[in-house]
Amino acid sequence: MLKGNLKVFCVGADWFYQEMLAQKIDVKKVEWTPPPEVPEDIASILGALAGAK
Amino acid sequence: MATKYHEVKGRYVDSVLLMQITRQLEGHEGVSKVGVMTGSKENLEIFKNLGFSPPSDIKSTDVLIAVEAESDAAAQKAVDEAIQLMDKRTSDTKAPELTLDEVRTAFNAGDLPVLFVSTPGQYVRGIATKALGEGMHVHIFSSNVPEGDEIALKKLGREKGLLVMGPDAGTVIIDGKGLGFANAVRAGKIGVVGSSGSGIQEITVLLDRGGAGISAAIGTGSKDLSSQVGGVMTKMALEKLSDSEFLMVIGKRPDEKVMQEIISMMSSKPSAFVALGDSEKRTEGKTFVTGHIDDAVDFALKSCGMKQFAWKDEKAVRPDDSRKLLRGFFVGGSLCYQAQAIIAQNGVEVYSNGPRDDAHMIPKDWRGLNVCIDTGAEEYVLGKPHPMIDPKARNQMIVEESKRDDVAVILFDVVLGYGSAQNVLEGLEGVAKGPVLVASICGTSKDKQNFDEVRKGLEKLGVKVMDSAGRAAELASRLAG
Repeated sequence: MLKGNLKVFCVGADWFYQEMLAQKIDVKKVEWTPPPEVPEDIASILGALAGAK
Repeated sequence: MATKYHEVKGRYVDSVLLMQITRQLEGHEGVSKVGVMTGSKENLEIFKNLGFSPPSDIKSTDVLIAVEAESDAAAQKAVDEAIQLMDKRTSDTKAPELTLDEVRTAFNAGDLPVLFVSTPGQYVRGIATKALGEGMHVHIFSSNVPEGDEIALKKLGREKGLLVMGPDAGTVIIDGKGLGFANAVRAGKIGVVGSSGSGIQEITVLLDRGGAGISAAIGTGSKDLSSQVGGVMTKMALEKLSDSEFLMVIGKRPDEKVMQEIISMMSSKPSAFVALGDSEKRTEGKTFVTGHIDDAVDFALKSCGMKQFAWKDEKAVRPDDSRKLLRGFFVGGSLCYQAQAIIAQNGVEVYSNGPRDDAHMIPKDWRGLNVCIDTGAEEYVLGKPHPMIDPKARNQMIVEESKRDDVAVILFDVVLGYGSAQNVLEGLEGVAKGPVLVASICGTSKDKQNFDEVRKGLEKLGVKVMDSAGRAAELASRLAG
């Protein structure tokens, strides 16, 4: 069953967040930024270390 | 020609907003090319395809503004305006109210919490895993989520009894509220589940027009009915909606085995399964199986003791014998798919960028062929808003093709509702009346765009407005060839 008070949390979707507000949905905007990029050589070392665990 | 680049470091801005800024600048005098996007790998490819050479130090956490214009001054002016628009639009929109870590504190035991995710696909797994861990259903609007991530998220959702709606789920309606692209439809006792966003919209709209309402509409994502994903969320959504009087499932090209498993689940209850594109109709237990949305809606209305539609079939009159070609331009991918099936079933060979089989994949030069084009497909929306959000480019394609003297009919859909543009007819002015223009409106009188006004606007342009996307495709197929 899908019961309860609908509460929506929006991640990275300003356009749809506005559309939900217009419908009077109980909606909150969640802060989100992409995680910083890890250079590929470091990422491969980290990946190898994780695999060795 | 002069080209200018400007990097905005470490700033995340919603992609729709960036695309709207791009569109605004494209219309400026002297400006020939514009790109305003984050520096993700995919976007850097788009920049390159546009003929730009993005700086090597750009990161996915940055925004890059690239402008080509007739002079240095014109390019710089456009860059400055992009920065201003970005600052203005982001200050106009509300600041985030909480972090992902704080979300758990913002709902209680009696709530139905849903996390709506529309980030680049590679970040979805981390965000959705956290939300599921905290007891939230997840609606993943994002596409380009790796298949392994989708399978893992749906497995976790299943274990926790939480829905993972998506990835690539355009439409969800819960408690009468639309998340993503959805129409304002009446509440009722019909539960709708599907891997097809515009298919769900068409079903819920037609039910509404027939006087029926829905308990909920759950989009499960375009790949849910594949053999790899196994329909795991479609099955779970059906369980969640088991108190509905009638159940409907819609999918584009469902895997045969998965489809049979789902039909077995439904067949003890009055229900319908729409396998878009199927030409056969059959009944299994209490489940009606069909490839046509209209037939399924009729069956649902009848099962619920309501009057079936009195479909009006327009007489097909060809403009003249030299015009033979059919053009279909769709904003809804599933409506494009259904149209192809109907057209092919009526004996007209039709090609598409989202074809029914590999033999009907649209070739590069399609001018002399009958085609149905999904303008919401990736190749048409790279760096641009989805045509439901901004239909101008799609509508201009219709105008261009209407000027040809060998096109007999142009078929298209107009999708209203939450998430869709306010002015759905923008760019359609100037459409020529040479070919017969045939359209359907996926919308209700409660949608914000004003159904009657949209219908009048289309009729004023000489468009024949049919009662459903299926009926429009039927008429178009009789005008081609």
